[in-house]
Amino acid sequence: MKRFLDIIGDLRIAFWLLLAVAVIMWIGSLYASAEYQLFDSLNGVRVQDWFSEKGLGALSSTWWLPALFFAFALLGLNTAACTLRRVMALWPRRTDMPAKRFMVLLSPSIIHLLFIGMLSGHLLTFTALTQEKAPIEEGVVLDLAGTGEFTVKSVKNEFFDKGSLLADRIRQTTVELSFMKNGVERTVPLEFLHSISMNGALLQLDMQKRKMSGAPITQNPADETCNKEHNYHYAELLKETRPQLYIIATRDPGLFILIPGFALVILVMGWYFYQIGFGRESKAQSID
Amino acid sequence: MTIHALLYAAAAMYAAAFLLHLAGKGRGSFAALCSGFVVHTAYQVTRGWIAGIFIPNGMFDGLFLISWGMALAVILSKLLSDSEMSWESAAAPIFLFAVLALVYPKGLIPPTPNKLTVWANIFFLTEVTGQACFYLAGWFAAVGIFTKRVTNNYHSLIVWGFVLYSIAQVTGAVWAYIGWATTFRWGSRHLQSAVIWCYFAAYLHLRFLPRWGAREKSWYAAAGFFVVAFNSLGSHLHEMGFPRIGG
Repeated sequence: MKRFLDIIGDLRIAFWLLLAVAVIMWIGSLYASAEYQLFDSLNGVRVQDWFSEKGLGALSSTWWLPALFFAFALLGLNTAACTLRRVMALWPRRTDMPAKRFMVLLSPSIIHLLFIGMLSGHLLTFTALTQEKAPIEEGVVLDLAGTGEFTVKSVKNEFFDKGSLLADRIRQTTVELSFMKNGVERTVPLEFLHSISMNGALLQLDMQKRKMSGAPITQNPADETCNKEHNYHYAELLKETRPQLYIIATRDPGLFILIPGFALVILVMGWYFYQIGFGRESKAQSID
Repeated sequence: MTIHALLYAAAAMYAAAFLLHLAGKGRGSFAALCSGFVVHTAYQVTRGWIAGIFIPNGMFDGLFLISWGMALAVILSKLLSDSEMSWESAAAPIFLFAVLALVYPKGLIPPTPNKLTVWANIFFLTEVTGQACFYLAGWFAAVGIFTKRVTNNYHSLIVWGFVLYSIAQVTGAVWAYIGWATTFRWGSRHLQSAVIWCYFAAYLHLRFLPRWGAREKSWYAAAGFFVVAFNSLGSHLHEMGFPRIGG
């Protein structure tokens, strides 16, 4: 067992796997830039469904995706083995040192366990996500991703102050949704950045610019920046040309691992690096 | 006079800091660097009002923040580190990035509703300052290689950069989650951000690999300068074509 862990938990393997993942993602980023629409269609769908429907037909552009998942699987295995090996070496010595010192030594292992949790959370998101998106306007009745029927009662836009250079641009939108619960009609507001939960699905607002005629503008494949900035460019966000609003309904089991995991990993990592003086005393932490 | 005069003044002080460093005037160089940083901070704060109302997004616009973050890291390193290293040499890359900011469109990209959150501000602040630390580490590693005085003085910069960049990964994911119901999107921006994180995560494992000596680690850290540049400057260059206001 120990021999097995020594081999698959070797830190040299961890180093080269991290570099391999970096290289594969860099190659992937080039393909994602060159074929924006193909890879953008992967967002919001399960990766296995997307790959069988679109990825297999464009293997010359999508080959790096299975390579990336394979490299991450190996990295997860290597990290698990390495962490187990370290904890097995550290645990018998827990009474030989002050508790704080032991926790400092244990922290990298906790961080690595959380990293495995992050990988698992992302894998769950990529393979088990359900997401539906529909355009909305006042009066429309929807049932997305098992939310049950709800009605868009009203749509109200809030604009930036008249005196500013952003005047007439949308600052916030409030959509009132109504639905029946126990025979009683209930109304809830939905705004950008303030999602609501309905029957276990997360509801969020999204929008896309459109021309004066009202037809949504096709995205320019090269027009990408942080997240989906390209979806609603600025000149179009005037009162005269209101963007098309959408509701996105998402069921993502990975979020239940990722969101608390994010908070924990930052807390533990911050505490650990603070304890070792942010690298100034890094040599002191080796247990080998 | 527009508020951008402050950026020109800061760039001039960074240039003066580098020239004074070359002339062997260490204290003068550091004073010029600190002065540049103060003026640059005033510029970044002023950018918050560039649209006529206070919008914090303007303060955290990436390319304007890189040289500011680098100057801050150098000043803190100089004040807090025991190392006798010539930190002022970093005025050269700080000036270089300040020049990039000078030629960059200076207006504000009008924020969409999904960008008006403190998560976006924390994300850009930590991402750029993390990158600033990586750039500086690359610079000092390269200086060590070319002056044949290889040290690991840049190591704590990489650790700081990694912590800040990890916070950026988390805050970016939270922002993406509250904005778009997903923590990761399949696109070049997110992939390249993850490339930088993996590259420096790999670096942090080097101290456990005996075959990687000080010189090899320095080459790796120096190469990190280009890894960060190749994986981040593209999005800044792309955003040059975006409509802006107040510039």
